[in-house]
Amino acid sequence: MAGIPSAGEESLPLPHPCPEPMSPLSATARSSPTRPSVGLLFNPTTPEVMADCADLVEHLSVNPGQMVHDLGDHSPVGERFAFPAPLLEALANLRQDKPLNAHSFSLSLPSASPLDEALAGAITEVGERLGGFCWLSEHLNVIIPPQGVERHSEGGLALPVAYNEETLTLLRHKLTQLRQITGLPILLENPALLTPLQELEMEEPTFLNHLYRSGHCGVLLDLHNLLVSERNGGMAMECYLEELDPAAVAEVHLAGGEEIYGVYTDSHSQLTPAAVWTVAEAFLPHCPNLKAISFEYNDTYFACIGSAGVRSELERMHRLADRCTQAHRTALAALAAPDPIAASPC
Amino acid sequence: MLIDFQQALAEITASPALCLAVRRDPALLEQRYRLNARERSQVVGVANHPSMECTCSLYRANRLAPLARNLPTTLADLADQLTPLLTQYWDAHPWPLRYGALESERFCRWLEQQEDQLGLSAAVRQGWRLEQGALRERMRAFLEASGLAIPHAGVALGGTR
Repeated sequence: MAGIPSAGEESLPLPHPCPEPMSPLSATARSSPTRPSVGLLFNPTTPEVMADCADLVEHLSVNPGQMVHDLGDHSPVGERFAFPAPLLEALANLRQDKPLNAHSFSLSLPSASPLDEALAGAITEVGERLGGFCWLSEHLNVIIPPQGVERHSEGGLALPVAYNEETLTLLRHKLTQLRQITGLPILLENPALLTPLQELEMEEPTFLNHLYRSGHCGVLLDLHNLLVSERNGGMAMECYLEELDPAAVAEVHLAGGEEIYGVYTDSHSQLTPAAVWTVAEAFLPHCPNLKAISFEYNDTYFACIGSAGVRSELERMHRLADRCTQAHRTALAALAAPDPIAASPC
Repeated sequence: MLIDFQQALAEITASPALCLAVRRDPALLEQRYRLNARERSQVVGVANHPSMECTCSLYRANRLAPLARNLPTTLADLADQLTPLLTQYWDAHPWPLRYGALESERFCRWLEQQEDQLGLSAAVRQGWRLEQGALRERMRAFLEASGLAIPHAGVALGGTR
């Protein structure tokens, strides 16, 4: 696997023109720092945005669950999955030669139940029909309750995960399976927690560091999710980022939210708030393997955000990507420069 | 036990009544789930978390969304009967089907089973039938566009138990 700390699997080719995700700061990254690309999570308003801002959108992310309909194990047409051809064709045309990342909210990897291998296969097929995904990200949430449901049932929830050895073992097994089925590098996204768990065996960034360092996945760092969790009693953003290994971060999500019933939520209804930009500008230049920065908004709020709002967000993201590249170059130059003390004859 | 822990979190989120019951009497958890001391404490903590009202409401909003998208007239026509009916439906089917059209079709079939007890007016019944028919036509058109064989008329497109 190019760039991913090996878990014993053979290297997998990445579809052109994807950047290599999660390459540790080793020979390749040190000699040729790559600039993180700037992009959007696809939704029904994306074509309108692309008509106005195509020059600012370098990649797209797509939820593969929106590109395949799950008819269930007892489908009357014999096939469990149906692929909406017009939608797939429209997205394939829209992406043209831009890199495409899969951002899934279906597999419920932390659930104490077997991996839905058929669904993982369907996600792979979506990628093939669209011309290839660079990587697959999933949410670090329990989405499907482990008991009493059919495979195509969802919880309608995004439950918190118990960060402990048992869950680590479960996830390591499923991530290995998922990578074998899809042939893709896998990222896990930190969740937006409305009801964070207390009395955890380990904190969330420690848990993600373990998965990264054992070579099972990288991290999709959703900075707005950090704000949501903090405002609902979870770990403070600064403490979280002090603990998280910056080398684990391959993609970043920016978004905005609002209060619902007095609770701050990840509604994707606003532009990225100032508190998130502050930590983005401070932390991301220290992430040597960052490959993509994506903005998420809910299409039902597009009338409020507007194409101009998305454009201003993309422009600021480009400035951030430039800062990351510059910081990386500076770090490399420092590494290359002779050590004045070591070089001294004294 | 992880499986029971996750199930407990899911069920107190899906059922506000259960969440409130756990708040009143945490010993209820021992009757339903096998949890160690830490898991039990975590579930009680979530049940009592100030964000739990919002979490339960978001769960119900997520379940309502596909029905509102596919059956707007039916939901509007049910008027005062809607809320208790949805609660009964969600009790009968605690977890939504992933494909929203199938979830809506399942709600229609469940509604058919309750029809005699509901005392719906002829106008409401007619609107519901028309909307159900339109939903089935959209699903057939989608299947056709996806290159799948279309079941003959009369076969429930829901295809779920």
